[in-house]
Amino acid sequence: MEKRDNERLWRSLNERENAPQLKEQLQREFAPEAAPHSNLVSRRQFLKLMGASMALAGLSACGYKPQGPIIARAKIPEEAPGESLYYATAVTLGGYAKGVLARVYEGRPIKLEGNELHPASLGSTDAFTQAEILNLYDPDRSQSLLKFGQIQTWQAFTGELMQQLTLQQAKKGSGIRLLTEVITSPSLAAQIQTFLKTYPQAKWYQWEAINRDHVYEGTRLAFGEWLNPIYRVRQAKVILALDSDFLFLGPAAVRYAREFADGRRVRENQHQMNRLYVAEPMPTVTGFTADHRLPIHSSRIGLLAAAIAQAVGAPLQVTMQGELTPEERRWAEVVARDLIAHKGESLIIVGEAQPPAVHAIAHAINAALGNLGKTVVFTAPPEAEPTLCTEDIRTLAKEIAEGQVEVLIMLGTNPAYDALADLNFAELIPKVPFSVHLSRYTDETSALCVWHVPESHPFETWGDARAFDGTVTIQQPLIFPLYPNTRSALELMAQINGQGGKQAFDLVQGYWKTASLAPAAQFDALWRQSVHDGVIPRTALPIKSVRLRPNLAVELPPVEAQGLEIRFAPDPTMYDGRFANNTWLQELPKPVSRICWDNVAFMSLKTAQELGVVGTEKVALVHDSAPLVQIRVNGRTLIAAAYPIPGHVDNAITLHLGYGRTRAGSNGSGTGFNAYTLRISDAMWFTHNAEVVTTGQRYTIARTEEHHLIEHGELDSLHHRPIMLIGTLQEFQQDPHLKKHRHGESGELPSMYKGFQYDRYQNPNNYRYAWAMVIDPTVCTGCSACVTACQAENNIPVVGKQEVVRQREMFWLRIDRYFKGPVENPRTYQLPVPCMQCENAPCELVCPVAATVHSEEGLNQMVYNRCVGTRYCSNNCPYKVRRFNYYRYAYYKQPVLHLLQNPDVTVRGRGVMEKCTYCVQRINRARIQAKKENRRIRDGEIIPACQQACPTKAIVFGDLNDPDSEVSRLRREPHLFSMLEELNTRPRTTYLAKLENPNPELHTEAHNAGSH
Amino acid sequence: MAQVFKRYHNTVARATIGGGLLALVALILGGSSITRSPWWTRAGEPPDQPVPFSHKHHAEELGIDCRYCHWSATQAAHAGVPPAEVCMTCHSQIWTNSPLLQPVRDSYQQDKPIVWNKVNDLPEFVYFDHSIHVNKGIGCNECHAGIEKMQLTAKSQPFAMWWCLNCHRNPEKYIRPKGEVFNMYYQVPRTEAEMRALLEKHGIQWNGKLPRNQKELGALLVKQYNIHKEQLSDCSICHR
Repeated sequence: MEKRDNERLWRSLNERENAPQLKEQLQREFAPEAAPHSNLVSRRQFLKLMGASMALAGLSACGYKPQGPIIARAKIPEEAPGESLYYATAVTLGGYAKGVLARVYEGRPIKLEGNELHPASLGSTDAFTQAEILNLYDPDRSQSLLKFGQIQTWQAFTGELMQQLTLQQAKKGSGIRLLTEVITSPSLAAQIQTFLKTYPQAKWYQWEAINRDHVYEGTRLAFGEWLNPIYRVRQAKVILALDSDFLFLGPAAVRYAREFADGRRVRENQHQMNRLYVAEPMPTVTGFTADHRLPIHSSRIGLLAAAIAQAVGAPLQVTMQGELTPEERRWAEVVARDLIAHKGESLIIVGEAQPPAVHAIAHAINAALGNLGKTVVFTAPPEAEPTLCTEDIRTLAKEIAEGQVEVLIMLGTNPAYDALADLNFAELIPKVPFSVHLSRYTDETSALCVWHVPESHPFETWGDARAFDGTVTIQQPLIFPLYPNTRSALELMAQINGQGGKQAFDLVQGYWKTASLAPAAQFDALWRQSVHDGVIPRTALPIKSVRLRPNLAVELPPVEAQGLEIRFAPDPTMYDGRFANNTWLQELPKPVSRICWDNVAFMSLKTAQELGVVGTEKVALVHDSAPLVQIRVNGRTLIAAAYPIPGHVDNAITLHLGYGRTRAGSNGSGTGFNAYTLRISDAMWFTHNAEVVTTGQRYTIARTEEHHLIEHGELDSLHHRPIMLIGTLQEFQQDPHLKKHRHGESGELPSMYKGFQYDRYQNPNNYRYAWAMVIDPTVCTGCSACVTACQAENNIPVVGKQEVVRQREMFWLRIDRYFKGPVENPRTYQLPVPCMQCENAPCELVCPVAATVHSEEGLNQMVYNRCVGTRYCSNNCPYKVRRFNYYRYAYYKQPVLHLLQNPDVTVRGRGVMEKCTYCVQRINRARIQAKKENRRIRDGEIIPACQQACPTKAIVFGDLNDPDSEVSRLRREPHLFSMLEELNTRPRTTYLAKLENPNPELHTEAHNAGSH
Repeated sequence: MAQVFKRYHNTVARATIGGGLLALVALILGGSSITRSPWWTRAGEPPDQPVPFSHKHHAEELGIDCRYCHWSATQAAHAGVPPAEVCMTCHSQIWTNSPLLQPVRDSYQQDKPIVWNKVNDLPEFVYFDHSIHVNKGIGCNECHAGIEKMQLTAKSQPFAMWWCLNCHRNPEKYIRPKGEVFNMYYQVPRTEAEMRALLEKHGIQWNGKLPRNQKELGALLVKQYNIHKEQLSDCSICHR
């Protein structure tokens, strides 16, 4: 029994315990609750209205509607009407640029794609970048200048500001403080430097709640100066990530994910696979992808690093208190041996939460292993003015408290919300006599300032920004500014510097003209090229050769053995809270926890049981309503919902930052719990001796882990149908078909039904296609960029938390998360599930109105205007990929959101079923183009939104009729697998086996069991 | 008790049943012919426009090619309404003081769009692409029949799904050589000599048997232009 337990896949704690509720849910297709949206209309009233409207509908249904206007342009445009143009620009997060190509349709950007030429993108994006387009059109964006909340004019503002600055001039600006986000923009930094020259006593501080202070301090310890580590993940055969989510978060995460995936694409003739070890407290995207994951307290990571340093003979002295457990020590030894065996092709990465000493230890290990210059290289920091954010904000707080600050200009930060709790920033800001806050929302900080200045979105103006390696992108405007009163930070600073008359374009280009990029004669050509490509050539920072300081000695902070540890981490979708009003990111099930619209206090099941927040009985452990607990630490308290998650280290709680905002906008305010209230400057990332008290209250959370469950049967039962094929690299090398893990029959199965006749019309002259998709779960990290990309491309609406609780989320593509093995540290598998586009499609057979039918090219077409909403198709879909519009989710009330919608995709109304179409609009576009040119569609010409966004290129789409297409080659791989193959649906979407590369020395039972 | 039903009730019953059936048929036929009639589809009713533009004058009398104003029809989904700048290519020289052209001059000078009223409209869930039709030998006047005779522009076809399917199911009935797409006066050749001249003019090969009528010519062109006829009635060709 125990062994079988280790073999089966489970999606949630409840499924692991075979909770009866879950079984019942599995039998139903739809969630039981049929209560209306907001109970405004009773059922009886509804039927009455329905009857009347049906009668009236008959009279009006089929008429020709009055035809709308055509708005002709005045001047001949660049593009043919209705055609999109792509412009290169960049999106910044934490100051660092990620290159994108924006699709602009008739003057409005509607979709962002990765920019292959940009080093931080390589053609892919993350979910944050995909969602940036919604930030642009957010109806809650600030549109007016406000003084104490009253609308004012620019004239009034500049008048007052200039008056204040003139007063300061006598004091050389000693009362002026500038607080910004981390700035990499060279042109903005130049404006700030000009300002600081005018007011030499003024000071410039930078603040990011998720900052890289420890990274820089770590390099200073190890090498004597602040350096920016860049990892060459592709070159690494063995990677150790210590409390680092490097595949998901950080300025180069998309690139690292790609390089990591390139090191483990196992094919019939390619057996190389890197190995990833991760030690971390709370499971992250990186931890879920690891071949070996060790749950360990953040505070004990240093001990682990020191043990590995000792084992590999790293040249440094570590002073520390505390000891590793025998299990941890063994893990460290095995990892160290593996690292030693891969000198020069191994890599240790430490997360920004770890203290500088741990970073220094990692540098020493990398040095001892000969990795410096090979798998890790260093450049100067790409920031315009590298600084320690924590020091900056502390100094600023002190200066305000001492009354030294008379003019405070804030460009885009939100310290009233995200500054450290012990600084009490919300009380400090009103102490400044003249404060100005430039931001896109009237947020927590704006409300406390004298002046609020609305900020432009980067898509509305010119700008520039550096990527993680220093490469500069010129940001070009994609749309005419939506609101006339907004300014960018660059424009505001230029205005303060007396260059108010200049256009943003002249400011940016003017800066680069003087930057001696190229001889003056070449500048125009270089500028055009740079704006077109989205990167300025030769702007990447030079790689510095580094040497470890001799006699390196570091001291680890003491480890508290007692009490609960609290770990603060950036939220996987809210980041530091700046995306709080972005409903795409709010509703995106978080990559690890599959929760949306909230953050919770994550803890292990054992800790949850010890704290009394979860029962010990073997029935449903998790409910849609989670118990609220009060967390007390360092004299501060926070009430949050407690939630057990498999793989979390015991005796610790992880809190994601970025929730509990009060002035985020109409969608973001009031969601989740504000973890910043516990975060103090002495314990930025983790703290100890927390107490947890249950409150007896409960809180509804939208947990999607049990939504759209696939019925795959008990392991040994007749009804068992495997969902995934999982094996190890070793097993693959012995038998690439992984036969021992396959169950039941596979291949061409007989059917009682006559299949769709694709060759009905044999005509050799015609180009015929058979679309298919292959997904490689071995490289999928579950980062969910594809889900948001799909949402952006296909006009998929958000439904809100209450509707998600009713299992009505509309995502066409979901990511299923499966666990296997012990609840303390299970193996985890991520599986993107789009429509399978079955050749024998169960959905098509049951539709009474033929609203879902097969196409010549093998798509299951969904015809919205035929659908009457019986939902039979969804009921009959074994993969649960169909979504029903219970309400008019997609009919946005705010006109500005209409600009967001993709004109190539129908906006679905109420009562209509919808599902993944393989991005048929992109197929049609490519087909039309190819037909006009009288040729076949080339392989790679059609890239669906999910494949386009995927950082690891785990999704491949193409034509099966072309034997040389990438998808055809993948379909011939021996470890190809169809989900629920025995149902004989013959899906066009297939998967490769999920392969793992465990170290034989650490082989756990869960690895061993291997079959499911 | 007297008989409830009299003899004549038989006749009444028969008449009711027969008449009912007939009425049903009449209703269906009548209904469908009403919904297909121009009265219902508003074909032939020119909407009001800010400038009383005459296709008859420009296209027929002056002989301006369709593509001079609707150049994107060959490249893009939309044929487009020409920007004022296009009008001004001629009207900056002729009829420069015409009051009828005031909106055009205003648009060009003030960079303000002219708001026309749509003539040919498709529902939002239909995705029509001009370029593929034009590039595969569907002439402009298959859908915009008689446009060159219109003093005021009206739609001349119903633009309903059944009407689209007429051609999507049987493109050979409507297709013409690509070179004749913009010819508003194209006629299907009626004699062998005309047919031969047409095919030779456009360099179209025929194997041995010269097509005799539109059906045979169409079949030849469908094959030559690689039109995947069976696919044309897939839902996702027009709906996505």
